[in-house]
Amino acid sequence: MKAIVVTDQAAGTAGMKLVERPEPEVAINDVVVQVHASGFTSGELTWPSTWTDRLGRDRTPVIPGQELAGVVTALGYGTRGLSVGQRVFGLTDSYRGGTLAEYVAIEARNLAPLPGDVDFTVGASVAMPGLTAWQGLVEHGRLQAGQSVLVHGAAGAVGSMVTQLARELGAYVIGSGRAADRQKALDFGGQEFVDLENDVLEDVGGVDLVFDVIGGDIGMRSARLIRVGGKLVTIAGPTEARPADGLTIDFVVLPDRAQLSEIIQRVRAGRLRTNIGNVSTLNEAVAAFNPTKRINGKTIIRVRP
Amino acid sequence: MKAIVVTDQAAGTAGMKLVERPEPQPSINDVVVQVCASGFVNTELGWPSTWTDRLDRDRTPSIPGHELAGVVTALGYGTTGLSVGQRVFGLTDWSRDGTLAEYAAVEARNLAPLPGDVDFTVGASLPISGLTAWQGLVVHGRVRVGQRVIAHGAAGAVGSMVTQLAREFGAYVIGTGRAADRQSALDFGANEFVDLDNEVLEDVGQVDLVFDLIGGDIGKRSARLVRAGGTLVSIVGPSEARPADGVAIDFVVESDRAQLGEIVQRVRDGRLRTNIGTVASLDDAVSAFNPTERRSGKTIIHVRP
Repeated sequence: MKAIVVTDQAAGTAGMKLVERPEPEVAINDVVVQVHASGFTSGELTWPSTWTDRLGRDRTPVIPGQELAGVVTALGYGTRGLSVGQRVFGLTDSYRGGTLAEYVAIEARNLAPLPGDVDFTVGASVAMPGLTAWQGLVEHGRLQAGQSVLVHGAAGAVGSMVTQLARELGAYVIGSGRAADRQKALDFGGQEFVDLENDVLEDVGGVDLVFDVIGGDIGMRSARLIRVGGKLVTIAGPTEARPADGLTIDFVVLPDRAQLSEIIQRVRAGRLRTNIGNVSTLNEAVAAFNPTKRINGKTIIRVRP
Repeated sequence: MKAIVVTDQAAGTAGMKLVERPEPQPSINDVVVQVCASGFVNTELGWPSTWTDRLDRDRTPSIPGHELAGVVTALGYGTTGLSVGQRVFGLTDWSRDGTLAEYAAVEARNLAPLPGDVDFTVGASLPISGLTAWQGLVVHGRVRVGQRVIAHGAAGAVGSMVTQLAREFGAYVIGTGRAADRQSALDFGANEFVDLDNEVLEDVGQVDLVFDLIGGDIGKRSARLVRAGGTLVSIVGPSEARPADGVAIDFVVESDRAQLGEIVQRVRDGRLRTNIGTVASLDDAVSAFNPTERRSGKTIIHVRP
């Protein structure tokens, strides 16, 4: 089958190559999915889980990509709950990946049914940002109606999901980003926007929740804005940034069938919109992931037309 | 750390050895559990997952055993939901090193909290038999009040769980086994018992659900007893045994935090009893798993005194 592979962490996305690979092995409680659309998160190639298995052993050549939508073509030994021919979408284990390819083996429990009226491109684009937003806001952040949220990267793939979901949960949303992101962040539902290069972050005042995707100095400064009892939720890694009288929770997104279903229902109902910057093919994927100018939103590879 | 390993599939349980192994490192969304008690099922050694990983690569020497109860001692990168020091129990991934060891690395989502009033030995005896019974009866079998259920091996680890749960769900339970198992099966709540060596299975008449742990000829004969619309649920692999006008479902048990919670709650309030036969130390584990005479009940290894 055709697949994108990487073999050298130092080369980054520039090292991606389109090659022929054997179709994947399917294990206990797995399914094989014929991939129609897949997503790739640019940070993936910096994560150790892209290059090793859970035992720490080298697993190159690696097919990157953890997000997918497609059709089940085979069941692993003992797999129940999905049927061959069913449309599905979801997120792979970060130590397996493999969605930038024609077929991928994935644990059945990492997938949810994809409704017939939702396009594969949409399904692939909402899995990771949707789960990240849901787990950050609902599971870890316990966001309540009436609270205020500072969302970094509000025009990006994750940030635009966080913005929309936070608004739906009844919160007041302040987005951040670059000047060029302002209108997009407001269009996704942000009620205010902070241009981190030209505005003063501290002018935002006190907030109940910070959803941080940046970390570093911005993370530290954001923590100081959090009101008593509030939370800093971050996907930028363990941090020393701590609200004076609140909690810091750093997490890595987990696949979850029930949450995927919650997200896709809202997409069907129009309450969540995708944030797709570019759609390309597997043949053009290497160029698509090495763009010459900044692309806002997700790049989705349409593996099957 | 001390651990039991196997290296040769042909040797079976006789090939188990107590050796020194490095302590496992937690991966993303893993925890490390200090194992207090663990369980093992003979059939594991017949599955490819004991010998190869999900990429179909050799993974020996392999630590068998996939049920555990113990204490969390470390969190992997980004892991949330469990805390260091928390008592937990659950089922580890079949394709990873297991629980006949002092420490095990396992995905946090495979574990559930173990209440303070439930012993580690009891906790370790629950995952496979409890989850198998729950998934077979509730998820796949959809057992209903008033149905007639055949629970094969009703005095064994899985069968006794099936019997107790099926009774709780309002079914009429016909247990099977050898003559020596009769009283035990009735004590677990079976309404009737069939001694498969001396009595005729077909005398029980028609049933709605068969929970098959045996397969082969008994599996085929059981399928013929299933009424129209009924179900044969099996854990012994895909079978030719099919009810004439019903469904045959074979499955492999999967870990599930919510289901583990349901099971342990029932142990706490007395609705479920475990069926522990032998408790041995890690030093005596090899002989405990190579008994000279048939043992009834589950063998649990008490790793930490």
